[in-house]
Amino acid sequence: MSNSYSSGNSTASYSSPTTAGNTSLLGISVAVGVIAIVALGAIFSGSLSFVWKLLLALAVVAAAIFTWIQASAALKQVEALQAELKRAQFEQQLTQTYKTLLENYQQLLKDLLPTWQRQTELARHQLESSITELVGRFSEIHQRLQAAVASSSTTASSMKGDTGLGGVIQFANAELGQITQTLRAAMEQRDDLLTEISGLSKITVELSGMSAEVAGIASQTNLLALNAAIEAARAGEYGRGFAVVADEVRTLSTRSGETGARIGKRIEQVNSALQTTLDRTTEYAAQDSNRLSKSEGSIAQVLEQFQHSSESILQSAHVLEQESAAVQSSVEEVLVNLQFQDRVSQILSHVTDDMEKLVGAVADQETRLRHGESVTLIDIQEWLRAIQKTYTTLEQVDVHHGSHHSKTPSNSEITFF
Amino acid sequence: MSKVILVVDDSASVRQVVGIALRGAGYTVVEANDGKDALTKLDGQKINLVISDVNMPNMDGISFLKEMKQKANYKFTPVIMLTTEGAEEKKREGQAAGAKAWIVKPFRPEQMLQAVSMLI
Repeated sequence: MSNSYSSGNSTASYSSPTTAGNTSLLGISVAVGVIAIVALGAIFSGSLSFVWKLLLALAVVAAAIFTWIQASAALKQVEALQAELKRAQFEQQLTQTYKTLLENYQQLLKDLLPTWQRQTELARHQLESSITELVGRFSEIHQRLQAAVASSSTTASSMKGDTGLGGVIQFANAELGQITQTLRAAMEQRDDLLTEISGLSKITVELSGMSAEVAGIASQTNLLALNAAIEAARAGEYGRGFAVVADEVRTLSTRSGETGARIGKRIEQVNSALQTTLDRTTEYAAQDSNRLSKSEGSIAQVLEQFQHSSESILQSAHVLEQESAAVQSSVEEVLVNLQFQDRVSQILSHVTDDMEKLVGAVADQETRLRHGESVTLIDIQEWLRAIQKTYTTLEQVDVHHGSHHSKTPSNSEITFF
Repeated sequence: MSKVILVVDDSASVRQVVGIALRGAGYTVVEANDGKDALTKLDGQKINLVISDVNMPNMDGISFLKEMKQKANYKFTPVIMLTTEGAEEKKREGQAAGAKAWIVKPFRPEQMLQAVSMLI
């Protein structure tokens, strides 16, 4: 459907039926007037009979009445025409005002629409660049979190099991326990050795006694040798040889006594040294046992602390992993939501495209008006149908039909063909 | 050697999101701004799958898909349409042109990756 209207400043010019009627009535009135004047002339000429004069006089009166009626009607028509003229003048003024207003609107649209278009395009561009930047940053955060979660997960899993920190602690516990057991075994062996040394000490006592016995035997031998020498002296010449033997025996017994005394002394020294060693070793053994017990306690404490620390680390790693996963999930949500830019960009594109279309239509109409050509009115329904065809999202269609909601689909929808 | 995926979208942010998700999953990504740009990217390399927007300047996604299917070496290459268009009519148009899947934006990267893994 298309409507046309005349352009330019031509005003409406038409001949109304009332005006045509007035013209014919004016002609009749003039004719009646002429007839009345002729009748009055005939009356006053005196050549006519009374009857004719009366008839003419009646005709003149009728003409006068008719003229008066016509004059009254003409007066009313003049008044009506004057009112119509005033209305026509008002309409002309109104048309002029509308024309000025239309020209103003056209100029406004011509100047304003490209500005709106540029501003919208600027907003679209800035939105796109900012969102792209944001997406980049969030993607980087997402990647880093992914790496952190993976690393934390690897660390946590490496801390578990036989090869993890717990396994190392268990291994250390077993190894250190074995070492302390070995040390304890060594200490027990040393205690055995001490018992042996203690036994040796008893032997030295026996040796000391034996040494005393040797000294006694030497003394008795010396006494026997002395007696033998006396007996040899009594025997005289026959006992001379025996006297030599007795002397030698006495010498030997003296030496035996001396050796026995030295042995006894040495045994005493050995016994003293053994006792000192035994005492010191016993003291050291007590100290060692004490140290070993302390060491075992320290090892157990250190391992327990290690165990506790590893459990804390594992727990922290687990919490960190969970938190990182939660943040990662939030970042993923942000990345999904940032896709609104694509939708907004498309909506703004449709608006700017339509603005451009309107700018073109207005410019075209202006050109036609300037050249005095007929202008086709814009079909608003057709325009709205055309813009609806450009919509890509369902919410655009809803908003087009007057809905005020601004929700966007939150769940992605996949269709496989 | 990793599979190569061509991502066609006029929105840089969408290309970025798709690219990051795909690269994270071990795919090699080639990007194009519109259908015309995408056609030039098809030559000289083997593309294993295409993810394309529908509404784009210069050449839209459906036209690109039709042109691509004319090429002998891309006749059977799977194509996923990734678009704001949710109308059934458009989906049918995409299916007729040879698309294998239709994802409506905004999309979840993991769902897109699932669709990709199902097609290659």
